[in-house]
Amino acid sequence: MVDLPAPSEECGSRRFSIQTEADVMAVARGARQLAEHLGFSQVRAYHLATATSELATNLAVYAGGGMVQLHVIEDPAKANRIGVELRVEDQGPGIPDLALAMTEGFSTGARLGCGLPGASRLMDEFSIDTSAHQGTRIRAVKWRQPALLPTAPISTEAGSLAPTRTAP
Amino acid sequence: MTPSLSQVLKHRQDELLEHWLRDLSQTSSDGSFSSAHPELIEPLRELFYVLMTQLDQAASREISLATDQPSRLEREQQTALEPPLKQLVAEQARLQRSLSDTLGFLLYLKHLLFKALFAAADQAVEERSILWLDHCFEQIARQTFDLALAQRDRYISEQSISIMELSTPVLRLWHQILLLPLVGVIDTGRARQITDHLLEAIAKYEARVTVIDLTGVPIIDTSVAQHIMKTIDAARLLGSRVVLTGISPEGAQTLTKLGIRFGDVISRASLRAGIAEALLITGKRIAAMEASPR
Ligand SMILES: Nc1ncnc2c1ncn2[C@@H]1O[C@H](COP(=O)(O)OP(=O)(O)OP(=O)(O)O)[C@@H](O)[C@H]1O
Ligand SMILES: [Mg+2]
Repeated sequence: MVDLPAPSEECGSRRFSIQTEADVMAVARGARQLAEHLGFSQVRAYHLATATSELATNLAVYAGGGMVQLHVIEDPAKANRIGVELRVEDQGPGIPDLALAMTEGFSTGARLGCGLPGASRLMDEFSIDTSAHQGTRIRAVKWRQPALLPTAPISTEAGSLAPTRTAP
Repeated sequence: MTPSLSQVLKHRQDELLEHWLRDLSQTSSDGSFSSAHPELIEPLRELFYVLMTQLDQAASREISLATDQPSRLEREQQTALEPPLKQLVAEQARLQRSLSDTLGFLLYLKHLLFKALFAAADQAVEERSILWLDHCFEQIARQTFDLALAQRDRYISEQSISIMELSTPVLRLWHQILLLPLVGVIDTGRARQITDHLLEAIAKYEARVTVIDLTGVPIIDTSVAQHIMKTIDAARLLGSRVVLTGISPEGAQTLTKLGIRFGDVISRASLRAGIAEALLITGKRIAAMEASPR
């Protein structure tokens, strides 16, 4: 596993432990409130909350629980650009075939199979670190303002994936 | 283990029990518990015997305090104590007595045991025995506390089930038109309940149209969407068409990004527009009264 960059500690951060689906609502609500408090538009706050809800639900359904963290971060490259960083970690079974899991409609749980690909589209940055039996770590960011130009996806790590994102 | 502890446990049991129950029938002078309800006597007696058996077994097996880990014996003891403790905790909750009373009863028994131990010891009581007995009761207190919390959790989730039942009304809006206003978190349990209620109502009122209003659903993610799809399918099987209303602009945008489409369901932004659509489907419309003054 590759170490993900440490979150900025200067601003607020919140941790949520997810064990069952009943725990999901609190973290989704927390994400939305945090985004709205930071001045995100309604739409962008809704995007963040929904992506958070998707990833947290996956923790409860597939990983036997895990941890969700929300951090307020500042773009090191651009002054005054703030965002919410979402970190989702579990010690579950991992995702054996990540490309397959990111395919729309693929589900091992008779669900819609839209959560992972959808969350990656809803967020501005999205990367997964996982392999079978190793657990799964996801880092995603939603910036307060949309990027002017769509940034190219960067994926260098083996076993990690940064899907194409569209500028909102 | 000192012989005195085993002896006390063996030979003075009945005396101890009687003393304990007698004192428990009155509120303690130091306020550590208020009098036990008469209905509690039986559970307390049962707990006492199980406890004595456990203590006696442990004492005779020379328990050492050295290990920090809960030993196998401690786990055995916990397993044996669980049923009577559970019963005690449940009774106390039913009688609306506080957990601190329950703990007070148990700690008072420890107090009596210590007194009996000191009275019986012809020589000085071994420090080890005291520490051990103290440790045992600490475990029991902790276990009682956990059991009471678990009991409360169960109570709360039972309550939320009844709230859930109350909060999924199916309204008969008009002849053959039903309204299902969804409010709050739609999880698997609730979704099933909602579908059941709706199907019953569709059959009962021979509804041709059901308006499902999502204004009160905070976030529509893939799970919620799937639940709604299942509800829609079920309604259709019974011959009712579905009109979805109240999806916010942000919600609609997010659903698109998630790649979710509700098939060929009619969707209207507002409840008002949805109701108008439902009336249209059933061949009715709301019109101004002809004679109404302008
Ligand atoms: N944290 C995880 N640990 C292990 N496997 C996971 C994890 N998250 C997702 N998966 C796997 O990836 C698949 C795709 O996930 P995704 O969230 O896209 O779909 P889903 O959860 O099955 O359905 P939906 O999210 O639409 O309700 C899952 O079916 C599961 O097999
Ligand atoms: Mg999912």
